[in-house]
Amino acid sequence: MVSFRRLPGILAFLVTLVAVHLQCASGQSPDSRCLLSLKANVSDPYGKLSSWTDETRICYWDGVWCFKNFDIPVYQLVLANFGLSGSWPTGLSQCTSLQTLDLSFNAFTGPIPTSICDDIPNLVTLDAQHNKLGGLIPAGFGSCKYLNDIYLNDNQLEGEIPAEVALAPRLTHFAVANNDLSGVIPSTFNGQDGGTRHFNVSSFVGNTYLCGAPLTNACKSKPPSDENSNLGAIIGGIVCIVLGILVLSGILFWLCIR
Amino acid sequence: MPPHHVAWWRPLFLIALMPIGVFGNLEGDALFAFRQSLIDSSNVLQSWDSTLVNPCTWFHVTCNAENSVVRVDLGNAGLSGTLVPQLGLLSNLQYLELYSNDLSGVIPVELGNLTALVSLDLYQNNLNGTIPDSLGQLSNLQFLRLNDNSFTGNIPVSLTTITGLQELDLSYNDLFGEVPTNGSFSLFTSISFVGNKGLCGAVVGKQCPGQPPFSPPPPHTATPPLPPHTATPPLPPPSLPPDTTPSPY
Repeated sequence: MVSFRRLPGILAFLVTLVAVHLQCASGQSPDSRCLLSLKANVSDPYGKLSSWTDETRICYWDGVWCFKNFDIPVYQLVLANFGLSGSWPTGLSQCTSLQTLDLSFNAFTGPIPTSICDDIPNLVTLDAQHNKLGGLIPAGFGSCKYLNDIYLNDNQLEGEIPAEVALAPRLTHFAVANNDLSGVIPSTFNGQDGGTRHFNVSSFVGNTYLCGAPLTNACKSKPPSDENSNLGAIIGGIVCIVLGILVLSGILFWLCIR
Repeated sequence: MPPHHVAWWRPLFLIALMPIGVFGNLEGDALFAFRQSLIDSSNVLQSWDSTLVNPCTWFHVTCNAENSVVRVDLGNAGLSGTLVPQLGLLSNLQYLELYSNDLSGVIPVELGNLTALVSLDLYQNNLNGTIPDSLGQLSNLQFLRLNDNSFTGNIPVSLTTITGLQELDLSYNDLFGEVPTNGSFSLFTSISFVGNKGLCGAVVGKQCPGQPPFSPPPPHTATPPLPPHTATPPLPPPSLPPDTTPSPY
């Protein structure tokens, strides 16, 4: 029979047990926490992340590449064409050695976090082309010390391209074609005004309201933003409904009078 | 008694047989010379029989269709001893996996002759000396992992000319001097160099003595048009048997 005096001790033991279990459940190492956090916040209808279970073997998980012959840390995540959707993966900052992040050909929605270079300081290659990323291109890309490649083409990114992005010291490939970008391409991207980068036209095509060297099209100003036109559509809809009710009432009244 | 002048053809005969080798195969001889410089505490080299016509049936050795050695897989095999120059004779060798052993001594400069080499894994051993400049000749190299040894000297700039180099680990050695950042080294971060107290340069966040403060990046030249993206994942690290039991041939 359990003595009441022992109860606090037993409770403490149980609490510790639960706490330890929770810690284990949330990831044995930063790398596994990073990956499990990604998995928990993403929609995976094709079960491409179903191998992401045994935390003692994370280097064998599909799409996960580790640095030293299947010993952690994780240095590449290649999830191209996995049929994934959801917002930008969270928890990536725990993959402290991550150098390649390939999310291409999925359905990730934006935005790209402005803290990307604080989250993934060792990022060398970012490939998120062919997704549904919205929002702005973060100026924070300029802080990525080692970033060589930015592939963001074929998304729904909007706004202007921040000049700071071209300041990433190792940037050699920059692809933002086929988005909804607007404004003038900063001189830091085209070698003018003493800019140190020079990217090709193919990096920028497919953005109707984007102009400036190396593009040769005239600058078009973008119509009022989507939010305003949505509001306009709502107001118009309400007006139409009100008018419709008035007309209908008028007709009924006239019929009644007759 | 035979006259003296008859003997002159004998050395020529032996020289003609050289390509076949004393034991019948140049590559087998080279690997056997390697075996002789090793202490094989786990007896993983028991099958390395020099009387066989070639080494292709030896455990931990893989050959191609022409019976030429393409892989040596002796990672985590309980080996001590040293590398030998003869390893440089394996002209078709693609994977040299000698990691996680107790090997000592230096990297022979002759390893720079292994121009087919894709992966050189000498990590987690007791190797010392410098990283030979000749390794810059390994034009097909993709994985170079020399971490966790006692290599000293500078990182050879010749390594930056290996265009296909994907993965570099020189961490935890006694290397010193400036860390290159050009050529293939533009892909490598501080992770590849950590644990070398004498290394300096922007990558490791330590100014090199006698150098001006970190200069702005050099002017960038025009980039070629972006090739169509073929979502190819990186080549996987060589998949290797983790244990030392002989592979089932």
